[in-house]
Amino acid sequence: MHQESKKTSRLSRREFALQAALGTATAACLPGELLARPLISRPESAQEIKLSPASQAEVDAKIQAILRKYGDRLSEAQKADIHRLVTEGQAPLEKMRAFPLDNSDQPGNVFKVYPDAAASSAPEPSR
Amino acid sequence: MLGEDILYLPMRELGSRIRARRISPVELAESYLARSERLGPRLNAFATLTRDLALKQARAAEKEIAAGQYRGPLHGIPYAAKDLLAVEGYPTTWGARPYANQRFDFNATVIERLNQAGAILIGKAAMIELAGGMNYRFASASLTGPAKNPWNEGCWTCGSSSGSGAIVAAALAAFAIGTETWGSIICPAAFCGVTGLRPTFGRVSRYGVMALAYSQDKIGPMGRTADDCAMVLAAIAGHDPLDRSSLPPSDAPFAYPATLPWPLRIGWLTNAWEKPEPEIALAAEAAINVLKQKGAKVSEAKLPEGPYEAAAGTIVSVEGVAAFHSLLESGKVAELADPLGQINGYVSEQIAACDYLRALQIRGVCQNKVDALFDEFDVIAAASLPVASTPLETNLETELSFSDPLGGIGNLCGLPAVSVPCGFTGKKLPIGIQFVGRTRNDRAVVAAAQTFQTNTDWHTQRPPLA
Repeated sequence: MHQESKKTSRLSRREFALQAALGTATAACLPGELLARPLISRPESAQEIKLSPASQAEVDAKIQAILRKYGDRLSEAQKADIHRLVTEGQAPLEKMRAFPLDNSDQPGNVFKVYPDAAASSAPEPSR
Repeated sequence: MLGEDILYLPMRELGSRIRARRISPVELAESYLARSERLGPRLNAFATLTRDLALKQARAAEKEIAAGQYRGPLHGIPYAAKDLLAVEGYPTTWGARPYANQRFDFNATVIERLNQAGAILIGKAAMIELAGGMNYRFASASLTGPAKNPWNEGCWTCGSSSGSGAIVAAALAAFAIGTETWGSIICPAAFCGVTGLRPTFGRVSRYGVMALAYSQDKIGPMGRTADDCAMVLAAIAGHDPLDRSSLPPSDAPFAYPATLPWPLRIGWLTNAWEKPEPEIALAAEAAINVLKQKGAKVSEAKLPEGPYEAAAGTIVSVEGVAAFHSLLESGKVAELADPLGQINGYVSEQIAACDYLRALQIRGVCQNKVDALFDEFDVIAAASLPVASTPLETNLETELSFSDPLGGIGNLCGLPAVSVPCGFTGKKLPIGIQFVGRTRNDRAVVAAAQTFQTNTDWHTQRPPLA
């Protein structure tokens, strides 16, 4: 069976951005007097994020794929932003990949073999 | 026109007066509409007002009640629905320019259920474009502009149920319907000083509602009290064969009023927020002490550690980009208001299927760990957010960052939650506390919130709107 990661989770800017996108609880902001001072210091650009050679290659490949498919419609500033976003998005993916999982750990997805299942055997919680 | 003292009454009290024919549903709807027409544009709270429909429904309610055909506590009660629920005959914009002229020829299941309960739809609430499905950097990421917080109009309501939060806080309706994929009910409820109830995943049908993340989207009420929200949930919950993730008929309904469990075993989370602002931490601790004094068995608890936020974020990114694939492919994503929203879908599209499946496997692991936690506790609790509402112009991507394991786990696993106001900052901005329960145990989170509100008056405070 899986074992728990001992690492404390901390949102990267990318992770935060993901959550902000969700209209998320993390879409909260610092009070006015702290606006210039982020709670957690972080790399200011993608260049400051250190990735392994394999991870960097993966990031580069993703960026190239985006530019091949959509480059015509993107400005230079948007391309730079995409570079940063893909780079920052690598860490959470690697965190997941490092999490031990077994073949028997089934995905928690939404497929039901009977789409309109009419019954559940599980009882309602008593409290 | 009815005065502010009436319009700020909890729905239960309004319903009681309507039933006793001491308040006319037509007069109530007219009063909320007039207030919405006056304050709504100032707060960017609405996408559309549905005046004609509201008055038609209100007249019908008045006639039925006069004839002794009272349908229940929502009969004649005006509400607003986030502009991602389909309402026949009106635009449903999803808060986004590419869908500004979109209309559906049917009602979402939730709208139908509220119609059956006799509620009065007075408008579609403003929202963050696509509920943030393509990401956003600024509060202005909306077809209707940034939603302004009634407590301080220079500050944000939070999103993505941004208009719903403003509407309830400013008494532009008695309650509002919001949705949450990750924080979109809890955050606006906390920022706006109202009560927000996020039901168990699958309890409320999403049929006719914009999809962001198929396996995390949830619909829930925002109102003055947990009691009000529970009454709304009772009306909108229930199995729906049109939503593939709907809980089965045996589990989906939410019976209320009902005897609520008490005392509760409450786990006070020590690792929900890394660095909450001191005044927020103090307010939340004071709130939990209120429940302790009322007999709750409170002890410290810890969320399981693991890549659960990363898994939740991956699921939302992939399901979101799949949900809006045609928008991305067509290039119309460039019409979104937010600069991050215009490009982030391209990034999400690159996430590998294997990583998505891995995130779903991690969800399965997380579900088991969380379920074990709820063997020990009926609810777990923490401040709703570590900060209060922030200026409208804040860059959300760069000017703040904090981990949100409770939001990540809660939404990854479909747990019910409620946020209730529990104090104010020195700048008179609302602070919230949240209670999170085991799946299908929505009654426990309602019980915690209702007991707290029975013994405090934070939820009765009104913003200083001129």
